[in-house]
Amino acid sequence: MSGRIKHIAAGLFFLVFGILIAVGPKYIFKICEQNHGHVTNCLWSARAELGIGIVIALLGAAYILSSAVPMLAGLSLSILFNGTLAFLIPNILIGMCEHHNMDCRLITLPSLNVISLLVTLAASVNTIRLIRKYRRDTRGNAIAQAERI
Amino acid sequence: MRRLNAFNISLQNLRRRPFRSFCIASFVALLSFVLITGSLLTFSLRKGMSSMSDRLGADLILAPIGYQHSAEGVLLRGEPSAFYLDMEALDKISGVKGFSRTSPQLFIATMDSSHCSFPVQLIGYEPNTDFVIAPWLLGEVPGILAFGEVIVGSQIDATAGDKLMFFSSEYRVVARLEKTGMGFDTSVFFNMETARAALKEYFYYTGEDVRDVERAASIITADIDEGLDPVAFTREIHDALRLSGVDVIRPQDFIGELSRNLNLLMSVIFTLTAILWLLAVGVLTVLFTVILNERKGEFRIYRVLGATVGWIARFVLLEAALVSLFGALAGVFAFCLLILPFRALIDLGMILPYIQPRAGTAALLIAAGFFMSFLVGPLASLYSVLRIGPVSAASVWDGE
Amino acid sequence: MLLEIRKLRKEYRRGDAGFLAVNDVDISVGENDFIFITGRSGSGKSTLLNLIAGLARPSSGKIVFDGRDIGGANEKELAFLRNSQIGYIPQGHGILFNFTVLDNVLLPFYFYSREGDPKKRALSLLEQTGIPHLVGSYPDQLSGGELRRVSIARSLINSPCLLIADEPTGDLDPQTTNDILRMFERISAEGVTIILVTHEVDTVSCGNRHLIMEEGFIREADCFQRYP
Repeated sequence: MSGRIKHIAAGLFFLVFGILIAVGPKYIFKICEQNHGHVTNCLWSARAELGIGIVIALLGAAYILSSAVPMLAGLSLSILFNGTLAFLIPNILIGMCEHHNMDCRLITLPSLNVISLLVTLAASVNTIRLIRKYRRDTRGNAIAQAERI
Repeated sequence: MRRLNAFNISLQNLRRRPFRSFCIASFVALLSFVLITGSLLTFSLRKGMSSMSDRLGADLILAPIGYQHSAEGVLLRGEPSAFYLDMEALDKISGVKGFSRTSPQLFIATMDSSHCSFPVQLIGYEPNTDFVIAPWLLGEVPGILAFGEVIVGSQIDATAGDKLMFFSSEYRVVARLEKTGMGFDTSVFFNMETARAALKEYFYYTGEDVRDVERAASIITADIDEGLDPVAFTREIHDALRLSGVDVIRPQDFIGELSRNLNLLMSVIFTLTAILWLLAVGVLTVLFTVILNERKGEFRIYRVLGATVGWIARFVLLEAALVSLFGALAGVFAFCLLILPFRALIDLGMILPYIQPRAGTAALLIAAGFFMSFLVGPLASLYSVLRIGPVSAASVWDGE
Repeated sequence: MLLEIRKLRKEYRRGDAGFLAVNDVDISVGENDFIFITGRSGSGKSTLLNLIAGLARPSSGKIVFDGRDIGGANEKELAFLRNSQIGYIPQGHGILFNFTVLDNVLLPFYFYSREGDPKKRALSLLEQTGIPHLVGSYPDQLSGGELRRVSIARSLINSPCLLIADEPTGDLDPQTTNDILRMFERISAEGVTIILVTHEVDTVSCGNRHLIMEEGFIREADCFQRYP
């Protein structure tokens, strides 16, 4: 796969999965229905995920539009941290409903876990790849420059 | 600088043929996923079935006419229900000769009072006479329940020491049971004294007539005298008791049917999985043979450079093992991604008795599935490996 | 003598009939010889090379290499001989397309346990063959002539005493052919014995000896002997 295709594919991956994190809890793997005016934990988690998901999606879009390797590595690292946050929010930081047979625990939480872990994993691999590429390129340039001198 | 040993050479060959490597690995990944999922499914169903057979220990269950399905629902599927034998029926049952022992159980349906509604089945049992639930509960929790104390099923969100509110009374949780794969998982157990007190409150809330609560029972579990033919005896009392509004149910009938269906399902799963495995070996054998013919020139070069036939065979086997390993790992990863996080949902959605294995057993099943799918590559490449010698040998047509 | 071949025969079966690809061949190859073997296609040249390199077993006759009769050697011994003492440049490019130029040159070193880092020698060989700039390239990025140079560099990685080349200049333009032949002359000057097979009589130089193969038989030729 050419470098350009890999680059766009990576950016699209983050963009799409960011959108999934943002809107999934509301429209796809829905949280519990809110009854009796009582706001549940899963609603707060879903709102936090909306924000994080939008950030990841925007970073993914920025990734597609960028080209410099240090910039791409920085964006990828940001996505890594946001992906980790997307995992921590429904599991630790805010949480979901207590009862383990509620929809948010049966469907929403596992879906978010899978998606956020995939994003984090992909971003880690991508960041390492870009850092290595940057080091290789700078080393190559240094050698070429030394030869010219 | 890396050494060009058989491992690195194999890895490089796989890297330079990404599409082919990806296709073979995907095939193995699919097999790995199916093997692991299938084995976990059959294990869980088998365990659930075994648990059910252990729990439903009575020869007969006597329930009000028209409530057989409800009784099954309570016991097997945890579908909350509330029904009662009337006094005439209870009198008639107590007059029947041929029972070695009987014991009442009381079912009350309720809703959890928290914002998250969840139906719960309350079951009252007589600790001194019960021979279905009591021995099992004693095995899990020593001692007899006092008034106001309850034991909860595995799906109820409470642990020992917690307090649960039903209707307007509080009850102290003494213990939480292990999973049974049956309706007991979503049930709360009281001794009969506590259950009848709760029943009074239930009637108060539902507005039903207060009956003779002190004798209330939803079902009577009964064992037949030794020496009596269960089928003949059941037929004999069936008509007599029906007139009094009592249905006679043989648990073995619905367990038996369920067991037959489950066994059929498991056989189908097993057969399909075995066929898939054999198919994978067959297809990959053909594929590797085709690839071998395509790589004749390459193997010839290795031999020209001083590699033995044994060395070439080793690295061909290693290539097949590596691609198989990546595929099997991908299958495990797919399982961990698509099935494992959703096991609670699968559990809940199963209408059949279903008990998922513990972590250790699950890990063993996953490892077995991984190993069986990993084997496919090396096995499929054996035929190609055996043909390496003739294929890589010099030919009179070389260069001529 | 480095190589002595006595009454060598190789028979193949074609349907029911047998035919002799190599027929009673007698050759003595001294150290530092540079031998050209020419002949038509199908005359048995490549079969002879395969027999010398241990890639095929003779039907009868004797091959003594460096004082040792290799007729009785097993497959492992022949493979080691081919790797360590004989450098074989097969017909065509004979290059592995999944590996870089450098990895192709290094490969024979790693087939057997050896001490040392061969990278320096490999780079030096690529320098000598005029392609040091192609170290990291893959073979599908190289021309025919460049591929031949890689093949030559690879054949020398384990410092063999005998170099066998089967049609090393086939399919090449005259300029590249000339460059390749000059390379062989330089290798010969360094003390490596060379047996080079070609059907292009025009490429034969007066290096050392010229043998002609016809229908499995071999004979010495004078310099610049052409086909009848």
